[in-house]
Amino acid sequence: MNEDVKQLLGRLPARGVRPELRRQVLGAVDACLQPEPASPWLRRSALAVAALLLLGAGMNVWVGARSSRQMAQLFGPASGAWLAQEHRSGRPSDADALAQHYLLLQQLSSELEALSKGTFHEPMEKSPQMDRGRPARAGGDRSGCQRLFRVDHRYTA
Amino acid sequence: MSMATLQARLARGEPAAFAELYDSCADRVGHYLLVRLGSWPDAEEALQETFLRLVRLRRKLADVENLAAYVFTVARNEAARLAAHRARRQQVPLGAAALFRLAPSADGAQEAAERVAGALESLAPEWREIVELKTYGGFTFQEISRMTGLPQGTVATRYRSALAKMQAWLGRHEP
Repeated sequence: MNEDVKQLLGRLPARGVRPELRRQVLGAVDACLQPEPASPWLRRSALAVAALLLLGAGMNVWVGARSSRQMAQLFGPASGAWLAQEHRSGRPSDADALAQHYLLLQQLSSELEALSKGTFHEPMEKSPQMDRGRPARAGGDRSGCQRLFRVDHRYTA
Repeated sequence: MSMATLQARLARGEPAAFAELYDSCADRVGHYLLVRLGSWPDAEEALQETFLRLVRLRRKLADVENLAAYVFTVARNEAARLAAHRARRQQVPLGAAALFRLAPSADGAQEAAERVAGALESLAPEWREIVELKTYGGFTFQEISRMTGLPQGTVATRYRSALAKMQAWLGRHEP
């Protein structure tokens, strides 16, 4: 019985789409296949982000330099932080020289303070005889003996 | 040209390949969408959306096992999406002129077509979809089962039941 319906359906071909629809659909397909041009807003946003990043990096450098200058004015150029920064900046020779200068100034300052209080005692030289392990030198030459740091009193006058 | 070659060209995004695909299946897909949506303007809109969806999914097309079934599945999803947007629209029964290509000179053809259109209209939408896919889509029960997500036995049962119901309807409306 169903065969009758099948035959009926088979004798009635389906109506197709309008021929004009082909151009419309394929036009939309072509448009969809075209690469999308970069949006001007997207390009502007990218430029703005890049400019902000540059500005941020510049501000960071400026603030760092300004802070370093202020630290140098307050604590002197040879402050510990500044020295550490100099070490990081890749100039170890300058930093080492400044470190030595800084230590010398500290020593001088403490000696001046001791002098003003009357408590300054020039450190005694260590006797070479105390170092019994060291071989004695001919003629009493003590140039190789260990010496403590000595303040040059030209600076204390 | 083999189907695999066409699928590879579609995956590469060649416009000529999409034109070939359109020529090979637009009428069948359009008719299916007409049955699903109830009007030619909606069916044409869904057909265009189907092809645009295929363009967006083109990289998957190279690996598709059955291209025609895949196109119908995409069309089915587009029809469901469009129908959800237009749920409140009053469905108008599709006449024979909308459904079939009729020869103007054939004696009694117009009347027979109107009766078949009426019989199709009497079916529930899910039954009618299976009749449409089997008769005009040319798919097997297994392919319809994959497209609709129904078990193959259910598809076969619904198809036979739909034909029986159409036969009964035609018997009640003898000229």
